[in-house]
Amino acid sequence: MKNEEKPEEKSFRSRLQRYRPLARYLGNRFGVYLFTLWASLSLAFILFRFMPGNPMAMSVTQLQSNAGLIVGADKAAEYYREKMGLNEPLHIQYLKFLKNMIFGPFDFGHSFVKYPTPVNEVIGRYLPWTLGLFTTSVILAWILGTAIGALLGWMRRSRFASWAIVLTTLINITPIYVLAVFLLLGLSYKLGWLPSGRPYDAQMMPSWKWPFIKSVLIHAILPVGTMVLVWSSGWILGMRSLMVSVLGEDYLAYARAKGLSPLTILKEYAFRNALLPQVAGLAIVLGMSLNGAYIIEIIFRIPGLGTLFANAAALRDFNTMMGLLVFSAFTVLTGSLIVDLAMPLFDPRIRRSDA
Amino acid sequence: MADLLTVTSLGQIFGTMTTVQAVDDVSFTMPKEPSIFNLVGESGSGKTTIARIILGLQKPTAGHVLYNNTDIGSKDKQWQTLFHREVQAVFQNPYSVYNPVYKVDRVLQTPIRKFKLSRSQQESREMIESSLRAVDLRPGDVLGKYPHQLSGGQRQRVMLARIHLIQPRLIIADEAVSMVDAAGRVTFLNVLLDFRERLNISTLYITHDLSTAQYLGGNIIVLYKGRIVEAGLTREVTKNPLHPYARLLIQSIPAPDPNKRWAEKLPLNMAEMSLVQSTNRARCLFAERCPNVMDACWQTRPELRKAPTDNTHEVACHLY
Amino acid sequence: MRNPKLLIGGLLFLGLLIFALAGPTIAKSRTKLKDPLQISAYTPYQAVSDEIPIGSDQLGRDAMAVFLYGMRLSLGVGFVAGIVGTLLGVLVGFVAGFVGGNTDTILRVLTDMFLVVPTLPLLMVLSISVDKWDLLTIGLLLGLFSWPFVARTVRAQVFSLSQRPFVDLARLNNENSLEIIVQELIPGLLPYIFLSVSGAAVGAMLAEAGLQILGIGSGNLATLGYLMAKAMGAGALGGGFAGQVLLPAGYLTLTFLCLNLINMGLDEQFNPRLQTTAHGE
Repeated sequence: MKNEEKPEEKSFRSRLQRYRPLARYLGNRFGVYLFTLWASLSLAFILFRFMPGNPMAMSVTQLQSNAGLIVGADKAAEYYREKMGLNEPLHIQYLKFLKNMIFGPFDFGHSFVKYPTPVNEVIGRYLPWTLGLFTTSVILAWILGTAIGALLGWMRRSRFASWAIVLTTLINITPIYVLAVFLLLGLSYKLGWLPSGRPYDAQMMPSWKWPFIKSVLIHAILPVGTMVLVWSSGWILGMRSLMVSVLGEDYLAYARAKGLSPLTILKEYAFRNALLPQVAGLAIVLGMSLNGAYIIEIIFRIPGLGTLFANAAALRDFNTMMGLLVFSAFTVLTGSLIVDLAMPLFDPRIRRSDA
Repeated sequence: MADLLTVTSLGQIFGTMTTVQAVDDVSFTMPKEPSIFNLVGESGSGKTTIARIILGLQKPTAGHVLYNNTDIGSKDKQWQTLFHREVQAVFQNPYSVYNPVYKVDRVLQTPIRKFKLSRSQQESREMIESSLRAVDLRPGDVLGKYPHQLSGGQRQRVMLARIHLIQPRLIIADEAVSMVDAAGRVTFLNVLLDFRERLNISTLYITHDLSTAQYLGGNIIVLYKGRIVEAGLTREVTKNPLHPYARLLIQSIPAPDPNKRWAEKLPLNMAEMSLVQSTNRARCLFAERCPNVMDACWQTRPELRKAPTDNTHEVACHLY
Repeated sequence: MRNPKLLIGGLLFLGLLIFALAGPTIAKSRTKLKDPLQISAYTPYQAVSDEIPIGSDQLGRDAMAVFLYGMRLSLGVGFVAGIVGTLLGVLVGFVAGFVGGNTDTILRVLTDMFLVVPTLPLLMVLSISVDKWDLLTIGLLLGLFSWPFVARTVRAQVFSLSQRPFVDLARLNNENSLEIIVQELIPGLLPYIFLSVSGAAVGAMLAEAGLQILGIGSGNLATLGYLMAKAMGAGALGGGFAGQVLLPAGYLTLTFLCLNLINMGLDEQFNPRLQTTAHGE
């Protein structure tokens, strides 16, 4: 036959062909990522220029009137007017803004309140708290939720599982701040088991020594616990219903008929197939989780980005707010890009075509 | 004399980045006299696409369809109403063709309303009941019920009752019996034959199942990967298939005789197909599966020609 | 209404609704003050007594009266946002699912964008620029951010419904697009549309309280979130004013519970039938 004449060339070509879907998937995702990032930047620009009352211009006048009240406010106003070129045509302003974003990178100018510290330096100071607590909670919640959900799905006919599901549903419905309040009231104020209201012991100075780290960890139990409890409940419910539907599929009946051990079936058949939507879901949920994390920071008085955001909003520090807005979008988008790029590891259908 | 339906060089390409040619230069005509045409092919041969194009549910990327010498894409409202009145369909799936929120009655009432078939409530009620009886259903068994309360065979027969009610000139039956049990299948085919004899309704019967096509008789068109490979009278083609693919299809009809097993292993060789080859369409598309493959098959596309044996019989193969 | 979740959720929600609407009347009946919300009627954060069972707030008002008035406002924000979000979402989802093609691709990318980007920071920025912080404005603002979820569900449903053969049959009956949308698609979508209203409302009420906790909000619209946030900010949890947090938190949670029960009930009631139709494929 014709196609057997050059087997080597053919297999090389077909091997390349096989990875075309993967390349297209990755390219597609990255393209959408860049587009969304650009759109968020533009949205931030538009928001701050066209909001009723033009906050950019307003803040300049406000700063000038505040001169003397806030240290360096008049200087900031001047610098600001010059830097942002408020008198220049809009498209020039927009291009300059994009340039500052890309080559700055993320140059938002100076913070009004903490003048003359640049905004990205201020953000950098608050960032570790958010990144640490938020990332830990998201990952912990996902792992715990997926594992528990798989288990509850596996023992779907037991009485324990159905009660656990009712409890999980209740937790899932409860707003994160309400749960935070209940835990805070119970475990901290009433029982006094856990500290609260600050990120670490008041007498300590931040350092990389064990006593300080220990103090941070103990203080983190409540906020992280709250986030993990709420977020994992969503994963548990999702994973359980996925497991239940996968367990009803024909190929599982076949696997059982083949006499495979229950553990193999759970691991290799049910779990692997139910895992895919869970991974995909992680990419979507990040943004909403960040919303919750900001609120948690306020309730537990953690000096993270949420707290910074609230402070900046209260003092109308527009540079900092804009920086935080862009940075929040950037973090979440990049996070979900990473998850999406990891998808092919879990899903062979994206990895290669079967043709 | 003008024909009932004329399909000319129909082509349909799906997709923008990676394209699939679902229908490739398909032409055939159905005469004014009541007749039955069978459109036969495996899944992916383009049969359903052709049906959807003829019904006006989809615009072809090439070619056109004439009904009574008028292009079916005509913008004339009156003509469209007439066209829908005269060309009707029975679909494959007797479940999802019903909107689950409505009672079964609605699929019979809507055409009466839209095509203004009756003048009074009383008359439409009588029409519905007589149509149901015409397809062996008792009105009391189906009227006032929701679709999920009926069996698959019942639902498909309600669809036939709908046809009986509208009394079109042409029925497009797309895999209409593939989800119906054996008894329902025979009833269904008999009703189609009956419609032709008594009501002068033509049928374009689309199927992957050659045995049901044989039962209906009439003409047959064999499709392979969007192209017509063989056409002619059903009797003649099934008795004396010329194209290697048609031969393969005929061989694969199971004979109702336990002593007669499928004689030889069918010469299917799916593994030989590859992505690279299928993009090249300037050749015989059956070449990689064909037991009689020649060099010419890889180089030029065989045209549909009159068969040497019989002048009602056409075949697209380099062997002839 | 054979579904117990639907029944319990619906009845309980009705109770909560009546309680919220009757709130101001109850507040008036249990105080001697002319205006139950009179400022500086007490000293700020005055200790709990029979007269003020959960203490007074930062403006010296009876916190119980603030709560009784606040229920209505919180539900109102949710209602406005739910309607606005659903209208927008149904429109986007419908166009995307029904028209398909490039329109669908563009709208889908847009929807996904709004889904992924964290909305709270955006909302914060937008809401501090709002000069009139009232029910309609805030409801509208929150509604603008709750449409992506609605659009996604509606698009998926419209897409799957419009691929069903019964739509083809409707075309063969010579029905036009409007008839198909109204007669064939909308009836199957109704439970999902209701689901969207309550989903968007829950989201908006959550977000509103979240904004209040982040310190954005005003006494003009003293919702439950406002009461909760101010009390928390003043250290109410440790200071004997826990009721100012727990009461609104409890009411909100109960409301979410009811709406979720209704949604689950609707889903159970209407999904199986859609699944039996899909079964034949």
